[in-house]
Amino acid sequence: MLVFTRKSGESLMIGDDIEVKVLSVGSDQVRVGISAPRKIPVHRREVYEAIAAQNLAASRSEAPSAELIRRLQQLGRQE
Amino acid sequence: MPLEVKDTRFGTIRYEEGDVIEVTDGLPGFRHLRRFLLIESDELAPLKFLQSLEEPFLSFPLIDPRIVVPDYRAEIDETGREGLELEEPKNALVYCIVTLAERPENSTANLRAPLVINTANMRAGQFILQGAEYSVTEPLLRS
Repeated sequence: MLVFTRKSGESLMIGDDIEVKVLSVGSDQVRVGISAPRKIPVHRREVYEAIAAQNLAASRSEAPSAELIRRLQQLGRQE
Repeated sequence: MPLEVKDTRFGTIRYEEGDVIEVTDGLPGFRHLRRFLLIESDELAPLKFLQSLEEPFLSFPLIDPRIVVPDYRAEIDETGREGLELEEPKNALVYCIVTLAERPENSTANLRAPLVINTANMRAGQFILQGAEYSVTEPLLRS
């Protein structure tokens, strides 16, 4: 991993069009601003990983029980 | 000419090329899988399944999120809309991926990252909504 030391207000460029800027530094938090082309998704890593983990869990789902289907159908009718 | 995918949760499924949903960037955790079918039947309704064509044993239960949260709204940003070439909101089908547990009340829906299908071109993507009002593991049934 490349490591840089930056001060508040300083930036890094990744390629020509992605800028990572340190906005402020606290005792245990850093505010970071990202400017990137819209086609590049930017997410907190823990959110992305939670979704990947949930997709894996979903793919290992139990077969839907008759009871679950019946209760979901009731919910659908209440709308 | 009908095509076939064998050994799925549903046995052998016949489909046509026009039925194939292309998840252009894959799903988080499954980036390498791009081609899917949407499986629906009276016995499963209101659940549906997103069935992988590349890994027949893989499928993802889906549900219309408004069954879980009646006033559910998914704001898909411009990046997402461009990726799907989604021009008309009416062409968007929005589903949430469901994790089915043995006990119905332990089953959850991922409302944070809906799956959006553009029915005009059969492209789809899973989008992570900004803001944290919806959970990745929202209970499917609320008492």
